[in-house]
Amino acid sequence: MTKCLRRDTLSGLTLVEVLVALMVFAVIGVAAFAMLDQTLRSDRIATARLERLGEVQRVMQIMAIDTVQAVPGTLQLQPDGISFLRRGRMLGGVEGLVVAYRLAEGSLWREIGPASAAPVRQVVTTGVAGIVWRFHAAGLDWQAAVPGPEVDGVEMVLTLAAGETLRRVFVLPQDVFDPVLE
Amino acid sequence: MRRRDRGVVLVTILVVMALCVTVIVAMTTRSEQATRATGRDLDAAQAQALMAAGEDSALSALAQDLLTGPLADGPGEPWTRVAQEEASVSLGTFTLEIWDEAARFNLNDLTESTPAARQVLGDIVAAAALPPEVAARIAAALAGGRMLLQIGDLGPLAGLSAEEIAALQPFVTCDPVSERPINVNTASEPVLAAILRNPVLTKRLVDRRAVDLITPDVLKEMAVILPSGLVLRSDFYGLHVVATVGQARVEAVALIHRWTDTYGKPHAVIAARRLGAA
Repeated sequence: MTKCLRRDTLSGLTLVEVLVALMVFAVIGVAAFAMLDQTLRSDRIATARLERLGEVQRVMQIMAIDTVQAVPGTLQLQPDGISFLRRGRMLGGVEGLVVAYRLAEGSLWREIGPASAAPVRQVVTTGVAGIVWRFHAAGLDWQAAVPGPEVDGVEMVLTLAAGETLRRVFVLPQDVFDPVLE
Repeated sequence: MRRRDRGVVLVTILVVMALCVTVIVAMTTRSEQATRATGRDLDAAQAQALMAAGEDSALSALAQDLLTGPLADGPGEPWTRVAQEEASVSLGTFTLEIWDEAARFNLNDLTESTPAARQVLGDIVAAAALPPEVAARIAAALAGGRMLLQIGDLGPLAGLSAEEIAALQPFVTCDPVSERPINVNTASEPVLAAILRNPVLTKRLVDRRAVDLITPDVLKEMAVILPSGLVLRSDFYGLHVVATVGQARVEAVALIHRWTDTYGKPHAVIAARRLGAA
């Protein structure tokens, strides 16, 4: 009896023991792999979303930098976007840069440069399905056309290819007028 | 276990642990990078919010001044107290300078090429200890009707050196409004003298404003009638704001325009803004 329970130190494991151990390890391995795969997939999705969010924030930041420096009375609505003159200089030229934002080939393009030279063109974001521009002036409601030099705000409604819609309002410096003549 | 297989378990565990550590380090690094990037965005947003707050405080003070002291504008009034030397705030540092644009001669008056404006410029150039041809070069550059957006453009447009521009800067400005009158209460003595062309009256006004603000009543008491081009108040102000939060730094120079509408309501708005150093 005592002999039956004692295992020889040189003998291996039984086939059943090996199979059970393999099964246990297989179950643990599959579970661990599934968890890791799920974590990595979530991380990839979150990173992609964060990168997209960061890109859209950068677009808004660039547009805010341009619009806060806009020269009043220079904003124009173009067939594919908007253009205006803003403060700042490039290429050692004099103050004043022409800036345009245009929608082309599913991307939002920014053009910037002195009036006397060809502008620098850059894609600020891709995956844009459409943009709607509206304009504001004191005492008037939002309009589809630039109301004149007294325009004090621009609204951009950006529709992304994924279907999301983003709305942002940019406040412009206001034209100096003579209150006596108003 | 046979003698030659001993240690296999330890090696296997070490390999598995190494893999786990690699995955954890990679994920932690990415997480830290994302946190840092978000922190930078947050700092930039907060610096911009500080700058906007500085602008709003100046706009509010200047609009309020139209109600409390509409007849004269000068040192000691509440709007001057929004100025802030570099100070630490809970987020970072903040600096705000505010000045009366009507204290300086507007170079854009030269776009209409009037003899009076050219004469004033000549006197100011002399006061800045610059040769007379500097005035001629500036007048020639602006005579074509080109509106100057920044004093620094006198370099490429009129061929002025950086030193010449720096010498002129305390006396001139370039506002997008022509023939804006000069404020007696804030103009420097050379600018006042160039407009008045009357050394005795200039001295009297400078001596008097050192004591208190020159109001219409004070003028009456002095028995002085101001010539055209001089006023006691201003509707244009310059603003320089610097806000720093963490690594983010925002600096802006703005022109403020204010007015009272037909219902008596005061308004103050940003008429021009340029990001970057003054």
